[in-house]
Amino acid sequence: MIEPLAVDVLSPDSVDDAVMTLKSVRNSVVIAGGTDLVARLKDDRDFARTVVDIGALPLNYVTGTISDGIRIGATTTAQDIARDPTLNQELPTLCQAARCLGGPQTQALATVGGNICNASPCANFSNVLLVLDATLVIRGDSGERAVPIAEFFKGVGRVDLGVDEILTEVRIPPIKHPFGLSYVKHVLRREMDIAVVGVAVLLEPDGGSIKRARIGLGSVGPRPVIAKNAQRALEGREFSDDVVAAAAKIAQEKDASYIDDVRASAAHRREITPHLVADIVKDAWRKGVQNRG
Amino acid sequence: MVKLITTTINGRNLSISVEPGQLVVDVLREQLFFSGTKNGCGTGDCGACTILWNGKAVNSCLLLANRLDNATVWTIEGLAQSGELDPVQEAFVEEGATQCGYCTPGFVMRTVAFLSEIENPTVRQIQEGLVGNVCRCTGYVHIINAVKSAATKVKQLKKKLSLPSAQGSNPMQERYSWGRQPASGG
Repeated sequence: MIEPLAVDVLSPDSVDDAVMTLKSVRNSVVIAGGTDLVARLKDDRDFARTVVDIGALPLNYVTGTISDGIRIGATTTAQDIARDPTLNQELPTLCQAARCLGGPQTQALATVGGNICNASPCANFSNVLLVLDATLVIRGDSGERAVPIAEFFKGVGRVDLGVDEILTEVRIPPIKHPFGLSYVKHVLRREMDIAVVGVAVLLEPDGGSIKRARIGLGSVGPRPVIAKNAQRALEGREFSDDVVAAAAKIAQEKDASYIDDVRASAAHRREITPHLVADIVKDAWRKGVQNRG
Repeated sequence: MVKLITTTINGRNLSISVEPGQLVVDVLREQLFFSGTKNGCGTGDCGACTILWNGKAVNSCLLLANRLDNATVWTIEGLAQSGELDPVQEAFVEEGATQCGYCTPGFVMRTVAFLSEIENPTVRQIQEGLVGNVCRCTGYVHIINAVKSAATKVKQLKKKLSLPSAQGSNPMQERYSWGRQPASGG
């Protein structure tokens, strides 16, 4: 039998109520899906004394379109994202990211907000949403604010959230056609594993050249990385294998940093990064030219 | 601080007291004596604790007890009705998909949900659909055969009862409409 966790569980009935609870109760944390938090609480029983359950709040929705902008509620589960008809039609890469998050049982509970706020540099959703320039809507005691996702991550497990604040919505700005979006999660096992290296790429082709490029890297830095240098090496250039290879090398040398951990060595990550970047840039280009999301 | 919650488990409405820090797997096993659901890894990796919670296959080792409140839960004990095995259970028995049996309730509950997601799964789809469940004994081949066989049984049963294929619907609600027809021969 598992020893019950030494936590109190509060279930606010609105976002404002949740905010007030977080503000007034010391050492309290938000729970949505719980697939990370509960495992963590079992491991570190002093991590929190009070758990504020926002799972039943109406933050589980997907609305909008690619041309108007898509809005996803923070407690939308990976399963709901994987199955959403609009996303499957217009942004299937996001659904792909949802489908390789843990396994089916995980996806039924895990939320996009939780994935982002846990601030793992490996997080699937963070990686893809970074290249989509998503904005995060945050509600706290002093009101609502919007933060570009690129500015949200402060370090491993640390985000720009006050103790009284909750992420309520993820906003994906309108994307103009044609565009191509691609993502790979390089893993030891195909499922149930955490990215050894993650690469997401958004390209906007303009004839034979790359008008705009966004490259997001996961697991190669303390935070999800925007490969600024590699992006600069692509934008405005004619698409060619050489241009891609050069940008991939720059990503490897200038944008990513590598550590040894239980999943892989720094050497492996360093070696695999340019191959993955090149592959995914080419895949995004192919999709952009065919005008698929 | 104990909390009184109301929940429906295996078709029965219950009012029970739970401690907030309890995990659902323990409420089921220790308080309600539904010991079919197993505690394996405790971290949501092995799937031995899989139950149906509000129609979804989830790891009960990661669900805090308050999530039972106003929820509908099905465990392995709720599948067989009037002594008759569910088609999924039948398939697992017939295909020899159990050795020690520890992983079996989790696999069966996940399969129940899986077959409402994909009606005619290929072997590849079954392999991908069951990645959240781990077996140490069988090497998976018989389990995959059992899921394939279960898919056929479920389909045949629905056809016999003239029911629509209703993919993605709540698998246990669907089962209510099956009545308790004797299993067809062969």
